[in-house]
Amino acid sequence: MRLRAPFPEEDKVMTLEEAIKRFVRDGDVVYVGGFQYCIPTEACFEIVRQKKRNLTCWMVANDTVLSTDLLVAMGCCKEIHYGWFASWPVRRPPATIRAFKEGRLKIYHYSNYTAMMALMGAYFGWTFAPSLSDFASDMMKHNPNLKYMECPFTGKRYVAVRCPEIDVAIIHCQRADKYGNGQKWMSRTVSDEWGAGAAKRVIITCEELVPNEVIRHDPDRTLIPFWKTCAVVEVPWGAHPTGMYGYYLRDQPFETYAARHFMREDLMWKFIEEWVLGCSDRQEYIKHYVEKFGYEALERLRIKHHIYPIMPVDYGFTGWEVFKGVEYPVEE
Amino acid sequence: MSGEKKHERDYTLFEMMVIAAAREIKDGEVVFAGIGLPVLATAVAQKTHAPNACIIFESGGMKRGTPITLPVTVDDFGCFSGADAALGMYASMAALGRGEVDVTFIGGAQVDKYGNVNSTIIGDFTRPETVKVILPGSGGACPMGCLGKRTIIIMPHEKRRLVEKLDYLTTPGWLWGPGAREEVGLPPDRGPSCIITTMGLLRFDPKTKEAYLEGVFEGVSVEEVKANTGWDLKVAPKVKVIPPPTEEELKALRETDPARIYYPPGERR
Repeated sequence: MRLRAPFPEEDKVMTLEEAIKRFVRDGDVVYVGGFQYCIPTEACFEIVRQKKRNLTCWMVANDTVLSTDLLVAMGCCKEIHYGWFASWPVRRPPATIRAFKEGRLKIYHYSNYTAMMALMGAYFGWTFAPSLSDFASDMMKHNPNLKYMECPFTGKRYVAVRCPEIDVAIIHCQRADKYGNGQKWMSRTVSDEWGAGAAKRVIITCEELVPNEVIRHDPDRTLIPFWKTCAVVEVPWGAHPTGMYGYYLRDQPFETYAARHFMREDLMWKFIEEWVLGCSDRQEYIKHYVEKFGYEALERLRIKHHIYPIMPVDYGFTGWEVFKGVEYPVEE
Repeated sequence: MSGEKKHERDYTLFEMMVIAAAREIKDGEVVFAGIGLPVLATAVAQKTHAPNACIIFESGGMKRGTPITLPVTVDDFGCFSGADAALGMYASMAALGRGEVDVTFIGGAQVDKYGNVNSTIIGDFTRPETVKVILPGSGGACPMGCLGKRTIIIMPHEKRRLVEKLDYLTTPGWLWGPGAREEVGLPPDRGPSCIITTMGLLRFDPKTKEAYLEGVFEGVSVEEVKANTGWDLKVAPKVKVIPPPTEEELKALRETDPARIYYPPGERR
């Protein structure tokens, strides 16, 4: 169910506080965007600050303690569905392990192939999607959203995956305009195009808010069209410590630092107090980062070797009026 | 074969594993890779015997030749910057499904004698209180094992990793033996081709589909290998000593990763 109608001319720029307050509800199924880059960490911080409850998080893959693992730690999340989930420096999702052991969290495992198919199916409005992976794995035993099926034409055996009904997708984009057109490039960020498309509502955080003109001069890069989007928030460094193509490198030393805190519960609370609850927004978080590790720590993450298109792409047109009065007579 | 001999080596164990993996790649093959060792193995193969091998990154980056910068994560700049194509994960998964991938590499926490792999959990999933650790999960591993023509399993050779029974089957290998893949609906002509460990190389008997020791690295004895395997490991009638890296192979590897970013912490410079 939509919370609002898509008014095409509506200005959707707002604060992250307002976006999360209006468009994430307790009990929602949330698609958390990104992979090892482009994870909307600041949006997750705000969900934590607003103490949302009983969320179901859906991800294809997610590599940081500062998104879903944080939501689990803070009790925002009751179940998680994923293909791959960990903080790579510690090879595991630390808070998730504690919550699972204590019976506070349900886990549904998929492979990346099958998670991808589930999202693509949801994108198309299907209730299930076929997959060529996960056969005979223990995922089939423990995840009720996976079953075997036969192709009605050939009898070939498939794994069927139930497609999620996603209420809200939180996506970090390189750029977006005030109408909610979100642009991403390099990798199409693995699965965000499908996760956002499948969702009833999309919240975009972006590195840069740009005029609509910028979007309309390069529409091929728009992965999230305006009519899906409910809120747009400009959040520079909004994916840190994961990286952002065209903006900054993944901050592996800081991810390692955060993950080591998360490995021990008392240190985790200290970290969350200092970096999540102790900072009211991303600007404060970055200010704190610079105070603690120095400006050079931030600077070294920036793109050093730029690669721009060599040939401009012409999106121009010719109007059909040029054919007015043009007719090639057929000679017999 | 003593520690003394090991000491004389001018290459590290990690380098031996990468080069053993590189030798498995044939010219013109398509390799599907996450990060780390497979990226290096493909680069070595390209620079030595397989100049036309090609890599597809799981995240959808595709590039002829070696990456512009070494990718440390699966969707790192090195997969996309200066690549020939930067598609999404759907494109790499689809290539696997269509049977266009020759070689896949997977790691994990446990492997059994049929090449089935666990990368999900240590403990009993149905009894959360018994769980020791939750690992990252399948990710691309299961589709790689299901759909890659030849899967190469990379695993440190330890008794707790080469086990009789997995805690969780994440990625099917030959499952329970001959005919099993057909029975469950998997392509029977695809599956694991070898296990490269820190001690040597295991292949699968074409009849029984069970892993056996084919070769050992220089300085490793068959007894050592058997003692570090969690099942009664079958051994080839004549176990080979795997030739150590050639100068050309070592040069290709060290050129690819001069800063030794991918090397295990103890072997970095």
